[in-house]
Amino acid sequence: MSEDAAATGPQRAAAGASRWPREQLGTLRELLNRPLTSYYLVLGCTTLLLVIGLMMVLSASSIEAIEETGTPFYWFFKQSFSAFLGVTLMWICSRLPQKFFRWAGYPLVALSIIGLLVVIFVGESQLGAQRWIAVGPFYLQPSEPAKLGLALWGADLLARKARAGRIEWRHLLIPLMPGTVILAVMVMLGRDLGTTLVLLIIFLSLLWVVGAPIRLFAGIMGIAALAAIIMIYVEPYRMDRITGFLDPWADAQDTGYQAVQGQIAMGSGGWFGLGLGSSRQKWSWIPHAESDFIFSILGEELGLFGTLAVVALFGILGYAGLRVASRAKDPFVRLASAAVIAWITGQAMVNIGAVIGVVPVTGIPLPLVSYGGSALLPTLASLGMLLSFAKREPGAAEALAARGPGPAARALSWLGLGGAASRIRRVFHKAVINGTGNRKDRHEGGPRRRRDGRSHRTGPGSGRRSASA
Amino acid sequence: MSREGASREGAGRGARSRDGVGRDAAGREAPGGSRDRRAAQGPVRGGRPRGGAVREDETTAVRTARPGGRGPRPPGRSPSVLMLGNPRRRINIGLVAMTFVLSIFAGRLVQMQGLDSKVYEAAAATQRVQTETLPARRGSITDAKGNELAVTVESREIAADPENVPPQGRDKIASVLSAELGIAKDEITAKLTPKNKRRYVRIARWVDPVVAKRIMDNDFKGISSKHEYRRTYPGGDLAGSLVGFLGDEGKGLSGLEQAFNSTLSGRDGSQTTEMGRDGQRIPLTSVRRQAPEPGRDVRLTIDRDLQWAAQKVIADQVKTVGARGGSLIALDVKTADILAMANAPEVDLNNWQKAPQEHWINRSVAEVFEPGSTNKVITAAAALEAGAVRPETEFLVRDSIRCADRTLKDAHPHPPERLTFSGIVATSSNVGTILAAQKVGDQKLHDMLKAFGFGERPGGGLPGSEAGLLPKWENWSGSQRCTVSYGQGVSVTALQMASVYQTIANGGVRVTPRIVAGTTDSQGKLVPAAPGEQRRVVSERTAEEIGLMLEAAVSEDGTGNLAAIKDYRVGGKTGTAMRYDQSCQGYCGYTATFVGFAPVEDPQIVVLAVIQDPRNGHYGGEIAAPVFKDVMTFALKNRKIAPSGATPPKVRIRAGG
Repeated sequence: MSEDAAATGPQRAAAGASRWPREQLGTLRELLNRPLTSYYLVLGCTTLLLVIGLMMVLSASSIEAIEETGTPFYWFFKQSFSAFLGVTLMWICSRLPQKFFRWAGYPLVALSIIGLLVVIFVGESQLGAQRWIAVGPFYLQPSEPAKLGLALWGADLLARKARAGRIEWRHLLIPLMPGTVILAVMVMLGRDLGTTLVLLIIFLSLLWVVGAPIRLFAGIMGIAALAAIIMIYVEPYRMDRITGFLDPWADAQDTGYQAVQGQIAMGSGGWFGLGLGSSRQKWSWIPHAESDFIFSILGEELGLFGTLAVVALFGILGYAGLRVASRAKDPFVRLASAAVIAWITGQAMVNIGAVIGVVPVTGIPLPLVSYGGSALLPTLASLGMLLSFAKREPGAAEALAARGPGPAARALSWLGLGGAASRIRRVFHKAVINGTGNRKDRHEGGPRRRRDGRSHRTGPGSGRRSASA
Repeated sequence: MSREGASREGAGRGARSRDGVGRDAAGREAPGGSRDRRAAQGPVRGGRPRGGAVREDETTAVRTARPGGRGPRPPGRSPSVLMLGNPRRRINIGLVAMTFVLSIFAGRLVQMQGLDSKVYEAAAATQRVQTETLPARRGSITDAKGNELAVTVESREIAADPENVPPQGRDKIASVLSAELGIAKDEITAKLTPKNKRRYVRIARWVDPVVAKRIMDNDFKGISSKHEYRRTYPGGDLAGSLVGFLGDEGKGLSGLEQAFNSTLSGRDGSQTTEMGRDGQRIPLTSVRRQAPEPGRDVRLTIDRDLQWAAQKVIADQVKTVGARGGSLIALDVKTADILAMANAPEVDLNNWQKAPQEHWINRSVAEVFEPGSTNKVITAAAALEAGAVRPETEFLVRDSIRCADRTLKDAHPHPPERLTFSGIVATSSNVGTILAAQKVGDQKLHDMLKAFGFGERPGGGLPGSEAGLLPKWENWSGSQRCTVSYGQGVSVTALQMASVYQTIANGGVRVTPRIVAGTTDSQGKLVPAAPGEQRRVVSERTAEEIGLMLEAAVSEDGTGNLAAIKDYRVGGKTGTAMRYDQSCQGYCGYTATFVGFAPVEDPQIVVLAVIQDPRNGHYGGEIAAPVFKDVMTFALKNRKIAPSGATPPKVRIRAGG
């Protein structure tokens, strides 16, 4: 891919010199083909969404917060703390080697299962869904790390099983399918339909990207439809959700209430919105305005341009994540990136779709934007992982090195602490090199690596790094 | 994506293993060199499951190669092995699908927020925009000096939203409210319990703002406090039926509250605000605001102190003599301002619902009765004006006289005696009055009655005032010709009769009685009401002569000697009329009256006392005159009127006496 771009780039530039739009297109293409594009896109979108999210959490929760706790910042401060932890986690994850993520899936799934078991027995039930464990002032939601766990674990499983474009049926579905089913059933026992849906999305995206046959998806969809019918039969309130979705205005006071209030908020925002902080619907009209329905408050305050911007940010984030997956040579990286991005954008779609009335209300938060630390931490961790992968894209390492020391490092060296900073950097670099290098050493041996380097033109980079290590 | 590369690979792959089934499934694999190598290694891999036969981009260990996969196996034939799709292509399909879904979302957003936003705005307005009335503060009713008789104060209404009251907190809230509001706890608990999905249940009205604040400081969920105004009457029953009261909607139901309702009530304002679901006003969303226009104050001519004294005296006397009721009116002679207008029994305005309905009316202007002897001054005025008699004109007065089909008698039997006309008035002789009236003639008497205001409302804007009954003289029956002269056969209200004596005291000029001294304008400044209309009824000389006759009536020889006040010259007339009663279809019981003025040399105040249907005694000179005396004494002192210096001129009562 990178070779092709390198070959076509100059030609396009030459051809487009005569015509202005083509030149622009060429510039964009060139920009997109730069080595660190994915890295910056993921980082940029994440930052923007996180900042918009904090802003909207403050706005949406302020009324309820001031009524219940006396300060409008109560939930905002909690969310800011979560965001601080999350960004730290993301920073750490962006510096961890791929090996760590391959390994991390297993304990994460195990911990999630334990957490989900705990939830079933001692969990806090809120508004028809039992999904929280109270730990001091915080409510933990083990179904959130379960998403990340499933993505990592599944990616590792399939990456190990699929070889040479082939996989055995058994390996494709076992143990991934039972694992997913166990997680899904446990989440379902907590009556959390939305998270079940997200787990299903992760599962399907793994199968899709690994290349499972189409007929498998048809079968799974059939089973899912059957399961959905059974679940609705068991818990009639889900049927209300669905009928409420089809025509929320028919029962605007009861089953369709939240959807209708969300749509009123969206609609009354108009083109440019009422202005930040001026939402009227947050005055107790919309239930869960700061979490599941934060998008409606965003629509009311920032208008069409605000909502389109958020949709676009998720689109760009999705593009960047899939770009990482698509450019990755390693099947685990590809699968994990794709699964994570399918989870985040899928969850965003389910959430936004519910607010704008194109899918039923399932009660899941908008990733990065909605209130909730349990959801924010795994999301930021997974985006940190994407950053880590993006840094290992072809050419990315050189580009990062060419960037020179960052402002923090420069400041430290000015203070005479440059040695410490570079030491830290070196430790991380070593970890990175060891993470990939060791395995290569173990399984491939020297000559292969040399060839690999030649054929990919990434050789010089890795070679130099190896040399420096 | 490199389509070029993919097709190249596809071709290579098809040549190698035909597993593509038309798909370039291995596109995700690394470029050609390694694949060629792997194809060559195919057979080798079976023999060496654990080895270097790994593509360089799949860095995983190949622990998965099971014994089942051992040996050369025609690819794609084993049912347990699947050929996988091209991951990059799958990813691209995913990207396209994501873009597709997000584009649909964007379209829906444009539709919702751009094109159809008016629909949602309308829905938002219907549920959020609420118009509240901003109640205007009702004006006060004050006495002549500005003391408040009716005043509107700040107050709060405490209400509950039972749906919002937490069930476990209900008991605690109820006990606190019960203690603060003095309402039974059970009653409050019942109101806090959700019923019929009602969201607003009033717990108490007219709560003191301090108490309301104390309640609201508890921050009970579902309990709200609303600003409202409360009408209160500091004087309780002071001028009760005159002032009147308000109904539940804050509109005047009786008395001046009703008559001056539009002046007092002002105009309510309104405010359109967007509301939160729990009833919070959303700040900065006020769309329209119309400020309320506060009501104007109404200042009466009443003197609070005199009113209080009058009310106390008449009430005590009514109780003492066991009467059905009584009224007392004090007028300023010069202006005809009503200084006091007391009725007994009186209604307590703060508890008007508990009083019987007949006490709600202002008897002074609404109760019509036959005046009796107090009417004789009109006969005298008519006779003097017509020149038919002079005060010294002598009459031979028997104790009875035949008139048409009836024999009419004086109050007490007496031998025939010679009385001057002044003496007839002073001793209140019916027969003598009839003799004088016969000299005047029916029409002249009727015209004089009319000129004194009989048969028409006295004016002055007093609510509920009656006109009384003055039959046309052509229709008078035979005996009525005689009885009208001494006040039977016509009927008046207390105010009409007081006005007659005001006219006499004022030198013959009748002034329309006035109750409202003025109203405040929008700046709160008093705008005085127009003074009462003046009309000369009799000549000054006639008035003066009648004044002297009335003074004689209060002398030792007159019927009203109990009304005399030491150091003041008082003129007045007793009246004891037979009282027509609807319930007994005829005359049963009496109306005792005394009406007079003081000081005679320069009359300032007219006081009329009337007692209806007394049981212990019935003569006006006995039971009404003391009331007059007490109130007049109070009024003279209250208005700082100096005692009369001169002694009264001697009035001849008996001929030759």
